[in-house]
This record gives sequence, structure tokens and C-alpha cells, in this order.
Amino acid sequence: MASKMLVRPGIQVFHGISRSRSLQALSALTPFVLWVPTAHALPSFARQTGEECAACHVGGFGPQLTPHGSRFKLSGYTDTDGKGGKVPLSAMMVGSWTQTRKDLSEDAGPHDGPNDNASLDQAAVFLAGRLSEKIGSFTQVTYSGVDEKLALDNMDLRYAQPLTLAGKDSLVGVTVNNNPTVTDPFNTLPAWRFPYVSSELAPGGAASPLMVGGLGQQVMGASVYAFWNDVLYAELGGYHTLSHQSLRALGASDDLGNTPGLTDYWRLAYLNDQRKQNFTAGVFGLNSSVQPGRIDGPENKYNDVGVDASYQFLGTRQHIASLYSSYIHEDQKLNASFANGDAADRTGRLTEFVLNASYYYDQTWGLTVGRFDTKGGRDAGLYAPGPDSGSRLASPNTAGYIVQADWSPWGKEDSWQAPWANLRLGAQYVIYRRFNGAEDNYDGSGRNASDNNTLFLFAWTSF
Amino acid sequence: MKAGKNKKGPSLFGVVGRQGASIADFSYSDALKQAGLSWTPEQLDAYIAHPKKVVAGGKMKYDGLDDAAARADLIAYLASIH
Repeated sequence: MASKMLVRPGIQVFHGISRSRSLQALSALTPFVLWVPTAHALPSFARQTGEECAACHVGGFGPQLTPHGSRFKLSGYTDTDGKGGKVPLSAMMVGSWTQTRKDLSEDAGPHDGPNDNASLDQAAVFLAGRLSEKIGSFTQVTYSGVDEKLALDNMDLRYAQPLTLAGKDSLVGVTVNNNPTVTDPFNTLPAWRFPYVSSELAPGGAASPLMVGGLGQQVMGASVYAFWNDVLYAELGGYHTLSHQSLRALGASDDLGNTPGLTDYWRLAYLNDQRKQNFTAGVFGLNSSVQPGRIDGPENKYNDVGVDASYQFLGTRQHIASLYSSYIHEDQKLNASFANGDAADRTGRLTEFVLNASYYYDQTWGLTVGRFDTKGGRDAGLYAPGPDSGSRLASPNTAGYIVQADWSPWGKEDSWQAPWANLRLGAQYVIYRRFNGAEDNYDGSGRNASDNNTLFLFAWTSF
Repeated sequence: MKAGKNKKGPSLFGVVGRQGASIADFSYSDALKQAGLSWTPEQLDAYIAHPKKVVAGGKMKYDGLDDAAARADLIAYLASIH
């Protein structure tokens, strides 16, 4: 997860590209790149538990979790091999090279050219692991080489308590965190789903639901959760934006605005773990009111509701196959944006469908294929024409495929330098079939959706 | 699986026939220490089937393997590692 996410929500990635006023107004809520989670494979967890990375992660590298890894997370990152002297610190670096099929009309970043850019996407340190018997942390501070900025990234500080509920073993806990869905133990919700890394210097669609990274690092909140009988998971949380001064002190962007009242997040999921295979199914949602620009007065209201499901074949761990999917529907009441002249209509909607399948051989060689499809109503205020990131048809509709092949040579018990180092090298290609409403000339300036097809080569290491 | 390589649980290298709670540098639960178990195949079978019934209050988070044939295969494998 670059800066927890390689692409941070609400952060303009086309640093050098001027956008229309309407798009700028929406930027706090709709990243202009594919929003991706921060990916983590942390050797400090392996050192703490005495287990190999592959015990908790598919492919010997994070963040794809096995049920064993999910339980470690829900236990508050506190499981240990019983030996003292473990320091809960890790570090991570991601470097990459990005090529879009056609050069952008302006530079892709403040320190980059219009194409063929190499970048240090992130250099991060983590406080990750057991702090006491029942308290653990997953907190990341990240330097972005693209932004040349240091900031607090994902934070998940949790207390967990095993107990018996209705005669069944259960885990209950409390987490203080700064990103709704970062607490989730599965890989279907936005904070932890595929792609786990992606380019910060390539275009993405004009809009995505608020809970797809729109609040991350700009809010702080708490949630309570329970995992009953290894079957049912429930979570309820509330969030509020941090003050402008606090965000500046933490190095975070202040693109979202103010959230008067409490932003509530809820989650219910079912897990059927048959050891050799498992599947999950769940529902989730988020409600938030936003005052863009922190201006008192009318509010935008976002109501997100989603369903998700996954299947994982683990077998003997030599061949691992996973299938993840989610669908989010967002209803918008855009009174603030309408009053500011940034939206042409007082109401709007977005839907987002994500499906991906991965296969890993020998916890080392991986191939993942994903499908993404975002749709929404037309709004000439929200989605205006403009080079590269605009929409000729006033539409956010964006769809395509992602293919990724990767190699994770370490992360196993007998790996070189285990459990002190891990590495993943990968090649990812994003194919756009539709971009901001059209296949051809989508931006009104002659750019086609396929011009944004992106080759992303990355080296990702942690220690 | 290596001798002396403990993880969240003690090393299972040579566990069949071993006295319970006998690896010096592993932090066992008080419940397991007081159970006085000897890991015979029969005792392992009962424990793997229902860990919490055999050692109430232990640290084991695994909730048990119901399949008797699978338990027999597992114990046969463990017996081969010594």
C-alpha cells in the first residue's frame, strides 16, 4: 500500500496536469488513478511468530491473507513464539517503472516526464507487531518519492481479547485507525484488494465510491469487532476528519474537506474455513457527510453499500488459487457541490464492480487477472472535458482489465535471510476498454481509452 | 520441520513419544504443563481431535480435526519425523 497505498485517495497524481474546476472539486473524493491498497508483507511479524511469511500470506508475500493470517490480524497482531526480545519494526521499499501506451499531455508528476518514468514509490517504516499481551500495531510512515513527502500512512492500533460467546470461542477487539476497511481481515474490501501495488504516475478513472480510499489518512476513528466461532465477523466503526493543522502535521493531504457528524462504517462477513479451501461472503457499508473545502453550509452525503465474496484453494500450499469479488453501490446527494457550481445535479450515483483471480505456484510464482468496472450517472459539472483526465461525455464510466505476473523468491522458512528480508518482482499491465465514458476520444482532446494502457514494472522489498 | 525450531507452537520434530511440555525454551501454558501428557499416538489422536477438551485453558488455537483418517495420516507423518 503505497503510503499505505501506492496511489493515495484524494491525492492528485497528475501533478503536472491542470484539471477543470469541477474535477478539482471532486478530487477529494475521486482519485484520478486506480486506487490501490498499501501492500504489506512484514518480516517483523515473521520474526515475532517464528513462522514463515507463507504461513499467513499467499505467495509468500503480503497482503493476500490465508485464514491463519486473518486470525493473526484479528488477534491484534499479538501472537508470538513465546520468546522475548522481538522488536516490532519493519521497513519496506517499492521502486517502479511506468509506461503508458501514449505520452500524457503534461508531465505525470512534479519530478517526472510525460511517460517512461522510474520512481521510488515509497520508502516506509512500520511499527508492526505485538506491543503487549493484547495490544498490537500496524502503523506505517511513508516517504513518497513521487510527492517527495513524508506522511503517516495506514494506522491500525488494536486491542484484542479472546472470550467465549454463546458457548463458542470468539475474538473481540477495538481498533483505532485512519482508514475505513483497513481493519478488514479479508482481501475483498478496498484497503486490501488487488492490485496491491500500482503506478502513481499513470491515469485512472475520474471517480470511485468514497469508501474506495476517499477517506484514508484524512480521518481518524475507532471500531469494535467480533469474530465468533471462526465463522462470523462483525465490525462497527465511526470516523471524523482530522483538523487541517493535524493533517499538515502528519504530512497528509487535506483534499476531502470536513465531515460534520460521524462517518459510520459497518461490516458483516461469513467465513467457511475447511482448511484446504475456504470461502467468504459479506456485506458492508459507509455513510458520510462532507463539506468540501471545509466550508460551512450545504453538505454532500454519500451512502455506500457493498457485497463481497471470495474463494481460496490452499491444498498443500503448492498450488494456491484465489478468487475475490466485490460490488459497491453509492448514492450521492451533492448539495454542496451543486451550490458551489461543481456539480450539475443535486444527486448522483456510482457503482463499482471488481473481480480478480490469482494462482500461485510453490509460494513463489504468481499470476493474477482482474476486471474492474465503474459506472455512474452523467454530470457535466463533475466530469468536464479536459486533456487526459477529463470526460467528453460527462461520464465517469471506466472499465478494463489488469494482468500481473510476479516472482517472490523468499518468504519461505528456508529462504535466504529469512525472516529478515522478503522480495517481490512483478510486471503489471492495465488495459482500459473504456475511460471516463468512452473508448475513443474520451477526453474531448483526442485521447483514447487504450492510450492509458499502462505497463508497470516493480521491485518491492521488505525487511 | 526442524529440531529445536519453535514457532507459535513447539517444534513437532520427534513429537511422537515425547513427554508433553518438555522443550526447555518454549513457553507452554500452565494448563499443558500441569496436564502431564505423554505424546503417544493415542494421546496425540485425542488432542488433535479436540485440543481444548484434552487441555482446557491451553494456548492451542486450532479447534480440532474431525476426520479420523486424516488424523491417522498426520500422526503417521509425525512419527516419521525424528
